[in-house]
Amino acid sequence: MLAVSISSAFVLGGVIERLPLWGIALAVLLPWLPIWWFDAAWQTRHYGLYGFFAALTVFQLGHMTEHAAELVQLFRNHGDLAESHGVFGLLDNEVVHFYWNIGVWLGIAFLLYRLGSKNPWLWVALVAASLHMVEHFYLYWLYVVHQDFWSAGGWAGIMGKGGLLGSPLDRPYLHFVYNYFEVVPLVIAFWDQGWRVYDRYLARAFPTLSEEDLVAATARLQRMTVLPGAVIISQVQRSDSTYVVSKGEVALIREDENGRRWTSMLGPGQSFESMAIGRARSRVISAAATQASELLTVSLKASGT
Amino acid sequence: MTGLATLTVVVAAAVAYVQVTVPLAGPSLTRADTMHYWPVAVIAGLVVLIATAAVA
Repeated sequence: MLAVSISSAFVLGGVIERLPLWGIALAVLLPWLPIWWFDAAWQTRHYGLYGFFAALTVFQLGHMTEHAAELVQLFRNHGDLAESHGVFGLLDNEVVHFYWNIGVWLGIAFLLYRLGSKNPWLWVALVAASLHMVEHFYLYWLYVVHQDFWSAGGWAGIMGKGGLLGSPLDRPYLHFVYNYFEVVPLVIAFWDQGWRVYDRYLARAFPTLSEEDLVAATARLQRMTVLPGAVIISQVQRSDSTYVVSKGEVALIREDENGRRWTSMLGPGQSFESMAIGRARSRVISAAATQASELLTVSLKASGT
Repeated sequence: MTGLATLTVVVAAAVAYVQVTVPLAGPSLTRADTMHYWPVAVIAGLVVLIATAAVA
């Protein structure tokens, strides 16, 4: 809510002050950056590669928006290229295009290398990114080594109208199409991957669970954050939940059938159950956080563990 | 898949419409000049092809 309020205020201020489009866009995005950063960090900690996948998809959606904005500007400005550079016009140059597309290509290739053939839409995205990458290799080389040639028309590239091979599409329209075939499969691939994602802390706590069971259990996970000293389980409490520590530290007091008690400290990736007698023929008397901690809880009956 | 196909057709139609109604004017090279640096494009293609094959 705070970010929404600040963003809205910035938009209003930007419009009143007649800021350039990129200034208003930046003002809208800035309050969301800290939220995005913490969320991306949390996603990566819990879901590993899926967090990186999410970040890449978000960035590429932003890239696609830039190309769409350029198309709208060209339409409104009757094809005036000088007035049509997207929202963040300063980023519309060959250097940025080249390194951004290399980053995207490497990102998709890395995801494919790690995820393998399980995600066919990633292959579609990689093919589109590869064709796009060939264009930008050629364009970047021209821009750096033969800038006169680039300015004289070489900026059309390979497949752009008037380019090396040519096509019916002028460069901005062609590159919009390249991005469409890169981004749409990437978004589908990201959605598809979501059906196979599981929490890494759950996997560490239960290494013998199959991937299918981990995915099912992850869908039922609930998250709780506790302050130092907070009691998670007390002596009188009975429930049928399993707790997995994902951050911080928890002190457990266990008691066996003979009444012997001992304390153990659990860290990230370790779990405990609150049922009366665990597999080790001991029960958890109490559990309390020794640091600010985050725990994942899943019902034992539903989890099947 | 139907939705994706529909979206693709709509986007293609929009791009074609913009291309036809707003063709871009700008410096352009002669046909002979555009072919001048074709080896660079071939090298770029080979580099990307090898890298893609390495991923596969």
